[in-house]
Amino acid sequence: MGVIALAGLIVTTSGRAEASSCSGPLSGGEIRVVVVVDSSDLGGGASATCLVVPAGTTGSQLLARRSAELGTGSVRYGSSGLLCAIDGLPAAGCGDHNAGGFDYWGYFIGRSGSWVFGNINPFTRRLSDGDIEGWRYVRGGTGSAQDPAPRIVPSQSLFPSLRPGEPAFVEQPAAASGTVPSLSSSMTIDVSPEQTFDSLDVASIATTTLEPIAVEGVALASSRTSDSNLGRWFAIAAVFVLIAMMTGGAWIQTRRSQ
Amino acid sequence: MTAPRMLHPGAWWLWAVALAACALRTTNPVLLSLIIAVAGWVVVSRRTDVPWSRSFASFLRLGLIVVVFRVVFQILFGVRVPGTTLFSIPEVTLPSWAAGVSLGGPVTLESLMAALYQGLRLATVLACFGAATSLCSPYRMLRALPTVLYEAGVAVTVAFTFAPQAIVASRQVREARRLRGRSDRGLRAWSASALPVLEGALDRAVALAASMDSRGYGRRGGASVSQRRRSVGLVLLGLVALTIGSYGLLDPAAPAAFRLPALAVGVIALVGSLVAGGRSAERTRYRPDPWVKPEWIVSVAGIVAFASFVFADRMGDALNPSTNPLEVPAVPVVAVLGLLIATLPAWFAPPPPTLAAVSTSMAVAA
Repeated sequence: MGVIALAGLIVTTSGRAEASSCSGPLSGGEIRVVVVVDSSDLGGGASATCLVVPAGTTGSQLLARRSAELGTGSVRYGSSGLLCAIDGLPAAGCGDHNAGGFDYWGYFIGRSGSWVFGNINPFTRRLSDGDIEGWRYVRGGTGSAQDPAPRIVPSQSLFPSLRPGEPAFVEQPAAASGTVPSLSSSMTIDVSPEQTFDSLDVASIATTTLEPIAVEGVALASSRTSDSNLGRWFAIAAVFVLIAMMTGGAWIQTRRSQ
Repeated sequence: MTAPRMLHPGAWWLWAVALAACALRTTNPVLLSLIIAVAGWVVVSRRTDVPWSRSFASFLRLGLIVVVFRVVFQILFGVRVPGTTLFSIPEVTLPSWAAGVSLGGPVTLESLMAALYQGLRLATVLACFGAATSLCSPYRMLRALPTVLYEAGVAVTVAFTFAPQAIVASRQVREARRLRGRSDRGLRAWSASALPVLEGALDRAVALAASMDSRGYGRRGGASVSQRRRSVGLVLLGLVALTIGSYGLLDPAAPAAFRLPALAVGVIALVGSLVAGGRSAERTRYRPDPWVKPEWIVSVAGIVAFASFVFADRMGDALNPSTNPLEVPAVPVVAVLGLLIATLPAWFAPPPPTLAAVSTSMAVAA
């Protein structure tokens, strides 16, 4: 079991305090990645969160991990496996038609310094150290590279700088004007829908032990009331009794006619 | 109980297509199983003695193959979806231009259930068409077709008679294999007989079309060349528009322009071809199949079932149970009641005449 130690340095008032080692040393098999979530079009904001995860973590595991760390509710998926909602946004609907296109969560990959439309399955995409993942809620999008990217520009400055002695990433010119406190261990940058980068909220998050993400779907399924499940099983049993009667009757008729 | 007679084939087709449309609206495995059971029950109650009446079982087997294929393809190539990982198969990392395609990887319970539901839906649609094929004679169906379709004579004949002819042909090929002392079961026998069966079925359908052609089916009358071309063009346009329209009607996700507008364009084009040909009055029909009370009951039973599905969908009942997160499928009561109404033809359709009865009545007539 992972032990989450609340030993973080709290910088913002709104920030949730969980300790992290995003600026500390990485133990073997760990990587640092940043996930950017931009729900400005839904009245949320844009945020960048640095997380330390086991190597080989997938894009969707990273999202689940982010939600767990920030406590923003689990990611919702459609029955086809399509990602419907992050942080509970949107509250309903999944990839619906809108204005000749679709409302959906676009997936972007930003390692190179600019966002690349990710026509990759986040469930199979394995992250490596220094990756930046982006999610933006697109309204009326076409599901192609023309759709707008997250409002936070991907750059290595989204990673908190490491303490002296740690190997650092190659810094690229930061597009965001905000400065990143070098001593915060992990951070979340929130950008308001109006795209002002001046007011950076920096939260600190600390986790001492890390574990692979548990599956969110199971927890969701079991959180449904078990009473209604019992009722459903009874209804299914009743229908299958009906089916058995019909099949039996059909079988008897076939025997008799031969 | 009504006297034994053949029901109008259009009624059976309407009933079966309505059931298939129900199946296309849902991925609920409980409802899909019930649709198959309803179709099977009616088929067993009201099928004839002719060879193609055994085709329902063949369609069920085909459906089973479809389900197995769907699940195996999901495991090998399916889009990886998050969830409870059951097992992993070796994953091939594809180059970046093949993004979106996955080969191997983790197999989740959610993805398997989604594949199972979708495979079952296709199997149910196949079972519905198997039911229609078992219940009515393809020849009678051809007779009942509207005059405008005569232009597309060979295509229509092949389309309607291929499946029943394939059943007859497969039976003959199996018998021939047995007479030669070879096994008629197993994968080898199946693969060895697949080609002769397909070839035989197509041959029979084309031969039927040719014989109908020689008896005046699709005859063009005294129309001029330009008139003929115009009417053929309109028929083609009408058929394409009707196909798109019925696709739009059956698939709830299709854009609105593919529904009633396309159907309307198709009907207008077909009526226009009748007028352009100017020969709608030239045809007479020998002993047309009547459309009376039992026909109404059968077709309305199918339409009521379809309406119950649309209603259940509007009410927000779980016609498409979630597989991610996985949930126990709910049973929409309205849809179940609608399907029970669809079993009424098992009692209210007239029983088909047996071969013995037909030969007796012919002897009496002679």
